[in-house]
Amino acid sequence: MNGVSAWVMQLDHVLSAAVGQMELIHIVDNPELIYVPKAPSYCNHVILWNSMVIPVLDLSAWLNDSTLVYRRNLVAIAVYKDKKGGLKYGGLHLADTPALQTVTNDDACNLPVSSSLWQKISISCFSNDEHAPIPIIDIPKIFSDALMSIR
Amino acid sequence: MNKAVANEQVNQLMVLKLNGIDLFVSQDEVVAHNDKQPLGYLENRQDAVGVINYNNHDVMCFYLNGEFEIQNRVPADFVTSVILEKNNYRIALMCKEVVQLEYTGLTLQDIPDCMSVKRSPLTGFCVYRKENDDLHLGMMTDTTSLVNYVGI
Repeated sequence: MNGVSAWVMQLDHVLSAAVGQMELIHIVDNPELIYVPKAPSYCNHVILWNSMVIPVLDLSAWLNDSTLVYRRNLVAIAVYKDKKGGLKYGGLHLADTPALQTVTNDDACNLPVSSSLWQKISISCFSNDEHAPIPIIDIPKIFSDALMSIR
Repeated sequence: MNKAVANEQVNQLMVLKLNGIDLFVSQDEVVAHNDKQPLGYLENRQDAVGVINYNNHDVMCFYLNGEFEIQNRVPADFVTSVILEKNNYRIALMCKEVVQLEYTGLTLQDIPDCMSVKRSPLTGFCVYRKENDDLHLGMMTDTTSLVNYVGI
């Protein structure tokens, strides 16, 4: 059966999430993370990429309500449209290089029960023989101000 | 959204060097900066470090650490006070140093929605290039945001 391609991303040593193939446009290995005081703890760094300031979001920290833990310094650059239709870019902390995977309707499943927060930021979820349920995250939503009000 | 700005269209920027972090502000708003300016005693604000007289106005002076937290104890090497003024709002900050930014290109950018917090002195970011150098990032502020932040 035909499917669509999605990038499966390791957010930490346990959590995985996916985004559409065209939403992830670049991986930056070992970027200079610049600390921004007073920003939310899960998003208090930016990087310079293509002459732009990119916020770097730690979804693992947001989901676990914890501070940053040690991981490989790897940032995925996602592209999305904001409410006004303008192109925006955001970064996601990753624990490892993402993998491209084909997803079909038959792979649909329920969201992980590990956190009720998944349903606030996910479009859907899939699973296959190799993986536990992998939420497909709503990129425009996580880079809006929504995460601040959900918790 | 990025706002590309030609050098001649933007005011020059001054860099306020704080404790491990720099704040960038339009030069228009910097009305004075002095080393070892005497500070007057301020009775009703425990978090301010004192008051500076400027053009017959008492301007409250604050010290922000690297987390932008208001501290009333100033490190010994913070001897420069800068007075900012805009639309009749005034505030003074203690800095390690105040320098004019030298750059060859400048882009201004809003704070991303996912980082925006209500109580912050930041108004945005700037990306600039020094001559024959890589890109650099600066954190922008202005008088109004600082006044609101410290609650004058």
